[in-house]
Formats: sequence, structure tokens, C-alpha cells
Amino acid sequence: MADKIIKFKNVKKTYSAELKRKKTALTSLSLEVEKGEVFGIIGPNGAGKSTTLKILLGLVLHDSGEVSLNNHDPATPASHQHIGYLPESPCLYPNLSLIDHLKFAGKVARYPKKLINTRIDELLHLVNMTQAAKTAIGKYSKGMTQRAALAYALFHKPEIAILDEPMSGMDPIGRKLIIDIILEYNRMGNTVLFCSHILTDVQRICNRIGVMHKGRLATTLNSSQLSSELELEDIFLSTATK
Amino acid sequence: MRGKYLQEKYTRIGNAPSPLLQAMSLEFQGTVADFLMLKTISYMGHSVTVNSSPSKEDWQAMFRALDLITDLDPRFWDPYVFAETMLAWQAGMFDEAAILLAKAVLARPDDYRPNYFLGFNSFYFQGDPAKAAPYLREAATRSNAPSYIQALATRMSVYGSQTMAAIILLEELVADTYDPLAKKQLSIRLETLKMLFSLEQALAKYRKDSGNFPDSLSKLVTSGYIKTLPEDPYGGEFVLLANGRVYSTSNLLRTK
Amino acid sequence: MNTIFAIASLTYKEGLKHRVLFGVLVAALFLMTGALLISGFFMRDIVKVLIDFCLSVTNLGGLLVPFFLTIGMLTGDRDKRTIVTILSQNVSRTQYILGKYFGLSLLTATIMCILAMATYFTLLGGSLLYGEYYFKSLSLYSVATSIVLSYVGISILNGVVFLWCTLTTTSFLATLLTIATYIIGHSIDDVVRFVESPPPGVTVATSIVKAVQIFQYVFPNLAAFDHKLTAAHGLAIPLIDSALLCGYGVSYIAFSLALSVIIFSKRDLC
Repeated sequence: MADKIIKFKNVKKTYSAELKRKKTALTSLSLEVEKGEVFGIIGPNGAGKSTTLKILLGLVLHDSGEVSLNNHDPATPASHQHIGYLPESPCLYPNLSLIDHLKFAGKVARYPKKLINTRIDELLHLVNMTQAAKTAIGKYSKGMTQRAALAYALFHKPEIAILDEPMSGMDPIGRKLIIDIILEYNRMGNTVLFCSHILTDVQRICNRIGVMHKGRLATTLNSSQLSSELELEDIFLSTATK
Repeated sequence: MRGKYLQEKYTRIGNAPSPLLQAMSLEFQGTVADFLMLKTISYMGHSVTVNSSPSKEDWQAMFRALDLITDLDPRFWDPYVFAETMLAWQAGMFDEAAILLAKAVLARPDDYRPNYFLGFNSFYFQGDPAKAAPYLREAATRSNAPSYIQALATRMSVYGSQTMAAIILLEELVADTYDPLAKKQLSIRLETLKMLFSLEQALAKYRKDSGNFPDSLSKLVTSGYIKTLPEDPYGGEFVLLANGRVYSTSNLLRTK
Repeated sequence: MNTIFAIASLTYKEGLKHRVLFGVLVAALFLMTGALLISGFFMRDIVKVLIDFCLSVTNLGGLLVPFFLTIGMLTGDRDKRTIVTILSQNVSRTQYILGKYFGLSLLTATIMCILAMATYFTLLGGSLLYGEYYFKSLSLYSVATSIVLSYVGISILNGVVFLWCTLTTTSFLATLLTIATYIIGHSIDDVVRFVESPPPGVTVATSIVKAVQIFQYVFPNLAAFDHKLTAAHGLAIPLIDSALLCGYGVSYIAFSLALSVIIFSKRDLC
């Protein structure tokens, strides 16, 4: 049996927003991702997908249950050296350039200076951003920002890539580039946790797919068992309307 | 209309309670004091332009402003000089000048000038050498005090010394002043006092030689004690009083 | 430490790219030139007026960091989610807070250094324009000490801003609390003096006296770091006083940041 690199066991999370009623994001999430697989998470809005990712990144603290990321507590910064995160709306500093961000990632990952520069060149070539590397992020198009954020997420060669809607807003060329990078990344033995509303991408890229609804994992499917995209859509809709 | 606005705004600032202004100035008390001083100088200039001489209310407004300025920055020298040259010398507001100079004595313990000004006002304007002497003795103890001050303290009753003390005070003020207009005004005053002093010297010599003061100042010319009668730069006339003192009809110099 | 320096460097670079910063520096340089001309209206204390003005501008330049940049960058990080950019790396929340603080402190130091240089050249210009006679009381050592102490005072305010930003959820509230801290910090001495010895005819309720006495110890005494008048009059600021103030400043900053880290560690971030 493959190692479980990500584990959620009966995890609960309720947000207590000021002056508002409490909102339960995760009622009881139990989920496991195996090492080396591409695991897709789908679900309607409000299902708890974002909260799941935020808990993995340590941005949000779960109320109860157990969470493990490569056998580390995700709230500890040490666990972050194993993950690379691409958010749904990339949040790089608009006044700084991609090179500034990549240099930062290199310093934090304790890379020697020479190696930082080598790695920067590699990544710029990988995401096709060599020309725009010194331009401020704020001047990038949506697609350029997405590629820049992916390069930043993968700088330190993390074992786990957490990608939230990585193809959102991209043109077909950009989408192909991202998909190729994800697949190559996975072929190198790394794990990918992938959230998307584009079911064709999910079915194409993922080994297994988890369908979340109302703060829990409603069902888990093997991609190989799905006969068509329509079947995945049916499962999604039937789960979402329960 | 602008003049009226300036006056109303200025007098309103002067009515602000000092602790409130200090608290509102936060860490910028020095700069607020500087701006208030600038306003006071402009207000003085404006009053002189409009009325040729500030009114009693104008002087009171300026005193209140100087009081605020010296509460904000007690070591700021300009307001004390303004108090001495304007409030005391020009407006005759010796009590008000004394209130301000008393603050300078405490805030500038290394400076002889506040005590010197207080002493000067006492003997020169108020004719009270007994009151002046302790101030002058105190001034003499300061490290930057000129050597003649100690001697002055013991000679307050001699009239000639009083004019000389005024000359010395003005010489220092003129040397110390940057503003060209203020410098010119003080220089005119200094010249007038020097004329007065030379007349007094000539009168003293006449009296020593003949046993009496002459009937008029023109007698000094005819007797050869002075070449010619000086002209009062303030437009008045020098007149000899019965007790041998010289008086200017322009009344811009306070002599007794 | 490397991580903290990396965050500090990123924060510093980000701060330098703020257009408002350059606008402010240009405005400040114009103001100092104006000071050179205005000081000529004064009769004697030209150097005092010039130093008052230049040190006030230097202070205002430094204060822009806590009031605008610190609050803007911290709440901006949270609202625009750029905090994720940092925390998704191998960076702890403690390192984030400390790195951000040092970056913003460095930014404050840079602004105040530039304005300090402008002060030096303004004073040089003044002595050439008005003559050395009016600059006899000038003590560059006192001016420099005053700027350093002002910097420590502003650094304390920066530390408190971090605390407010971790406690509140909006930049508006953080700004209000910072303004309140600044005003209390600069007027607490006067208020304490007033309530403990009110003028004749004025009575102060015991509850107010107690509240003011508590405020005195809870809020930072920023007025203690204001030595502009001392420098303006060319008086020496004793080294022991400066050392004690710096010690107080460092302790208060450490306390503010420690409290910020504790609160920040327990907060949900986005």
C-alpha cells in the first residue's frame, strides 16, 4: 500500500466571523492522498475545498480531528518545505518582479546564491517567462501571472504540489503548458493535489477524484473507472444536489 | 478684509489656553512656537502699516501670543527680545515684559541677558535702581556676561550710567539681529541714544566748569562744548530739562 | 535568521516601490528649502527655527511609515492574500512578523537618513546664507542624537501598529488605534501632570486619575523620545539618557512584537 502523504481524519472547522453567525466549513472531513498520485478535489461552491487547502497550508487552524502533511503538522513551517502552492487567484506582490519573488523563494529554501540563479533560469524557461522576468507582476496578464505563480510554487522542488484552479482564465496554449508541467512533475514521483471546476481537466490529469459536499468527502472515484466526462458530471451533480 | 481676518484669527490664537495648545502641538511645540512668532511679527508689521502704531488691544494680543510662544518653547530667544524692544521699550508694558523675562531667567540659566533686561527696565524705564541692582548682580554671575555689568550694578544711581547701559544693550541687540528692518530700527535708536549721551557728557562738563547747567542746549554750542546740536532721527527736538536731563519731544525714547 | 532577513528584504523592496514614498521625499525636500528662506524672517534664533523645521519634517517623513506603509502593507497582505505568498513557503508566522517589522524599520531608517542628510545640507546652506554668527549654538551631535531617538520612538509606534493589525480586521480600525496611540504617547506626560496636580478650582474624578495612571504605563511614552527642542537649542543630550531611552524602546518593541506573534499565531488568516 502506498504511503499516505496527506491525511485528514474527522477534521472539523467552523469560522466564527465577527458580528455574523458561525459558519461550518468542514463538518467531518476524512481524506487520504497517496504519495505519487494526482488527487483531484471537486465540489460545489461552499463545499469546503478552499478550507481544506488552507488547513494544509497552515493558514487556518482546524478545530478538531487530525491532519498530517508528509507526517508533519501542517501548522508548522517545516511542513511547508514539502509543498508548493498555487492559489486560485495568484497573490504575488504587484510592485515586485518575478525574479524578486524567485530570489525570495530561493533564500527561504536556503539555496546557495549560484544555485538560486541557476534554478531561476530553469524555471523561467519552463514557464516561458524569461522575457518578462524583470517586469513588475502588476503589469502581467492573467495567464502570465498564473505561470509566474506556478514557477514560484515549484522553486524549491516540493514533493507535493497543491494547485487551486491552475488553468483558470488561461488560453489553450497556457492551459497545455500548465498541464504538461503538472504531468511531468508527477512523472518525477511527486504528488499533486488538484482543485478545479473544469471536470475534463480533472478527469484527464487525476488518478483519483474526491467529491466534496457540505464539508465532507462525499465520494472518492478512480479516474480509470470513469467511462466518460459526462459520468463524472452526473456524479458531481447528484452529489451536489443531495 | 484680509487685515480684519488676520486680526481676528491672531487674537483667537492668543486666547487659546496654553496647556491646550501645548497638548495639541504634540511633538511639534518648537515649530508651532516658530509659526506663532512669525504671526506675531507679521501682526506687528500689519498694525504699524494700518495704524502707524499698534493699539492697546493689539499690544495685549501680542503679549498673549508671546506668553503662549514662551510656554511652548521657553528657551526661544526671539520672543524675549520682542518683549524687551517692543512691549517694554515701545509700549511701556513693563509688567508684561517682566512676566515673560522671568520665564527666560528660568529657561536660559546660562544667559545673562534676561536678568540684564529686567534690571535695565527697572532702572532705565521705571527709575528704580534698588530693584535693578539684584537683577544686574545675578546677570553678572553668568558665564557669558560682559565685565562691565558688575560695575553697572554698583552705579545705578548715576544717570550717565543709565544711558550708557542702554547704549550697550542696544549695541548687543544690533550685532545679534539678522533681520535687516529690525536691525535698522535698532540702529536708529542706538544713534539717538549716542547723541543723547554725548549731550549729557557735554552738560556734565559744562556743569563741572561753571557750577550750573546751561539755560538751553544751544548754549553748549555757543560755549564750544559741542560743535552743533544733533537732529533727533525720530523727528522730534532735544530739550534740556531743569534737572539737567535731556528730553526728546518725539517721545520715542523714554527718559526721566 | 536568513528567512527573517529574506522577508525583511522583500518588504523593503516592496516599500521602496511605493510611489507615495517618492512624492513625500520630494515634498520634504521642498519644505526644507522653504525653511531656509522662512528662517530669514526671524530676528536672531535662525538656527533654532531651521532645526525645528528640519527635524519636524524628518519626523513627519518617518511617521509616514507606521501610519501609511505599515498599516497598508500588513492589512494589504491579508486582504489581497499576498500573505499566502510568504506563508506558503517554509516561513513561520513568527518569522513573518519579525521579517516584516525589520523590513519596515529599515524603510523608516532609510527615509529618516535621507531627510537627515537634507537637514545637514539645509543647515550648511543656512550658515552660508546667514553667516556663521547665527549658527554658534549649532551642535550636529545633538541634531543626530535627536534624529536617532525620534527613529526609536517611531520604531515603537511601528511595533504597536503590528499589534493593532493583528488584533483588528480592518485597516480603518488599525489606523484609528495608531492615531490614538500616537496622541496618547505624546500627551500622556502633560495629562498625568494635569490630573495629579490640577490647577486651583479644578477637580478630577479618582477614576479618571487611575485610568490616566494606567494609560501611562500601558501606552508607550513617545514624548520621551522627542528631543527636537534640545537639539534646536544646541543643548547636549546625555548619553546615559539616550541609552536608557533606547533600552526602553527595545523592550517595548520586543513586548509589542511578542504579543503580536502570540495573537497572530492563533488567527485564521484568509
